[in-house]
Amino acid sequence: MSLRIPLTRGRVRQRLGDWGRGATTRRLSARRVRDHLAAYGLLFPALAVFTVFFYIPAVYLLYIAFFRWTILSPGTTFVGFQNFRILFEQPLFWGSLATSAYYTLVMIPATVLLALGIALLLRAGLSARRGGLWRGAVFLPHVTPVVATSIIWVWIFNPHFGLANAVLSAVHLPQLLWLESVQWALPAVMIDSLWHSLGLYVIIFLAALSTVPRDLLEVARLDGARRQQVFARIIWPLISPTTFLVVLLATVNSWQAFSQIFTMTGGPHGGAGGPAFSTTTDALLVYQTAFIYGNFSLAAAMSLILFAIVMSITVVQKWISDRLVFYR
Amino acid sequence: MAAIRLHNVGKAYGQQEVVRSVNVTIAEGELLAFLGPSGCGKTSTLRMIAGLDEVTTGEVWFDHRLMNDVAAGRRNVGMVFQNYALYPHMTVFDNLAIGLRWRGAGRADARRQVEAIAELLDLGSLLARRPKELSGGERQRVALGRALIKQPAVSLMDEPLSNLDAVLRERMRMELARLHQRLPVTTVYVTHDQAEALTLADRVAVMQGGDVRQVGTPLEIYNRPADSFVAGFVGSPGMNLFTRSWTVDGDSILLEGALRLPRELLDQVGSSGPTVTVGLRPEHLAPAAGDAPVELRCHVETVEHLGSHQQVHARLGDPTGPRLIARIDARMVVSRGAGLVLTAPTEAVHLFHPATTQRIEPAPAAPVAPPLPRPRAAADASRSPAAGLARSQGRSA
Repeated sequence: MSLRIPLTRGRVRQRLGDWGRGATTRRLSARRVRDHLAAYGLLFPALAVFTVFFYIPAVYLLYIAFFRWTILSPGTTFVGFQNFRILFEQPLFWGSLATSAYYTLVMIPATVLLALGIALLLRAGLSARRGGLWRGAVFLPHVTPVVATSIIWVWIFNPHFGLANAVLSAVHLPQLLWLESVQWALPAVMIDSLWHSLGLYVIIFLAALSTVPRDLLEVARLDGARRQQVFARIIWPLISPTTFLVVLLATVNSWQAFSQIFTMTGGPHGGAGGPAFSTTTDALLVYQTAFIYGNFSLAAAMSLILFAIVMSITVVQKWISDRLVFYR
Repeated sequence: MAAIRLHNVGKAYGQQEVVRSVNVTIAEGELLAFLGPSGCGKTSTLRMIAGLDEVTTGEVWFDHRLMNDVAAGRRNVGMVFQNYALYPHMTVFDNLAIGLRWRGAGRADARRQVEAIAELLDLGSLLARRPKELSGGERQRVALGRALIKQPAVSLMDEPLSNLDAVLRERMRMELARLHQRLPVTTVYVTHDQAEALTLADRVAVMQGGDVRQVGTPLEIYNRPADSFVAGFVGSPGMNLFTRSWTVDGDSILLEGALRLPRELLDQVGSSGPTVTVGLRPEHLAPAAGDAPVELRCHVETVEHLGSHQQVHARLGDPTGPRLIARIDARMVVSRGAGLVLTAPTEAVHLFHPATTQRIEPAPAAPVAPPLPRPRAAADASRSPAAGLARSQGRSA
């Protein structure tokens, strides 16, 4: 006698249900695969470009930094840390680090102070209608090509017929040799860099200022706060995430600054970077070592050190910002 | 503490007038509420008192001092904003103390005052927290504390309860009332919520379209609205208003057949010309039993049962007539689509001039304030009858 289980309506529904669920799962996973394929397909062009021009060179740079690799002998001699040892014994390398540090240390506060100052002025002094025009005017230098405008700045800083000295003499200040002087070549580059980059930071600060609620400023006004107190206790803390972002961007951009330094003091002036290496930053020295002296392994070691420095500074800045920056 | 006098105060942005010639005096220690729909100019008026916006015309006086050119920070004004405007990066303690410090108080003095206000508002355990760690009600109390800690001459509140949920709003309303009794600072309170205005305020200024339509105690506003806008805006639901032409029919005045008024109102009705606006509050209407001096024939559209009472939505006269609402006893049987005759006491009839919208006052012999035929809430012993009245409205709102 066989045991027969009657196929009740409930059981039928249960079986159909199971079957249905299986089909749904299969259908969903097929769709997920399709989604993933589509996503990777869309990512592929960008990934390919990044891989060829960024990731592979970066990894390759790590590799050749530990080999002797010059343009005449693209060899495979493993030299360990010898490239780094050579660099550490070179006064020019230490000098370039000092120049980079000097450039960065001036550029960061100058960028923050000027950009924030201009943003505050634009916000306070302009009607919404004319505001757009002024914002555009301030942002305009940022969209110009660095090399082209830097060449114009070379003319401006010409000690004999440049605009800079004309302005100085108009206000009865002594004239300067600018790009031809050890002392003033880097400050001249800084002025060009600030002029070129400030627009972006002004716009970033303007956006941050517009997020400070008007109510808070009004409460402070009612509490009798003076303008500088409102800034110090309300505006500055509330825009601190943006200030941190600007500091971070200015740091990275300053350590990596190349085009304007090369154009103003490198190429047309013999490729050495200012009189007596006065504008030879780390980035410029990397370029010269690799493409003028042909020593790629030394340049790679230098790049690694530059990377380590920027990385460490960023980590320290992040650590500080976590304690000082207020995130709403 | 200071008394406030607004004399012909107006505000215009370019061609657009948002406040027109406001004349109000607020006595020392009084709580006056500006009540009106959005965009009526009440917040603009408040901001001009605070000094946050300049007056376009007129004068703002605190006691005997003209404040027009006095900076906001020098007016000694405490203000509570709609969204509290607490400094998000500061603790509750710093939110309370910073104003004092800006005004030159020493560290120890500020601490003492913060502790005092924290005790008054029950904020003691919250002093180390930041605003985002507080509930809505707690933030509201901190904002209140910040406005009061500097012992302001004038306290200004811009819809302070509108961000709270209904239950919390009612509780904070009571707390505000209690606080105002303990610290009777001259207060200007802006709200669009009539329950708040009527329960909290000593007097209410009803605004519309940049004009103050009426200033009076909550009871006056409710019982003797100065014009048909105030009549329709205050009360929940607002007063039923019908503008009809009238004829005399024996002992009655007949308004287009559907509404009958007693002949004793003829002087008032007659003074308005061939048409008159009749106002009747929903809560004063009841189904007629036999002949009544005031009679409304209407056609019932829908009936809402609300437990304690039912709200009848009907049309005056035929199904195309003007809408009306009657709030009647829950036990009455009213059927949808049927005819219904409603009545009201003669004292509950309000008359308005259709062209000017102004109230038509009864002849001098008539009683000034008609007694309410069916008071819906017992008067609170500690508050005025108006408070009890408004509270009942608040519940039903």
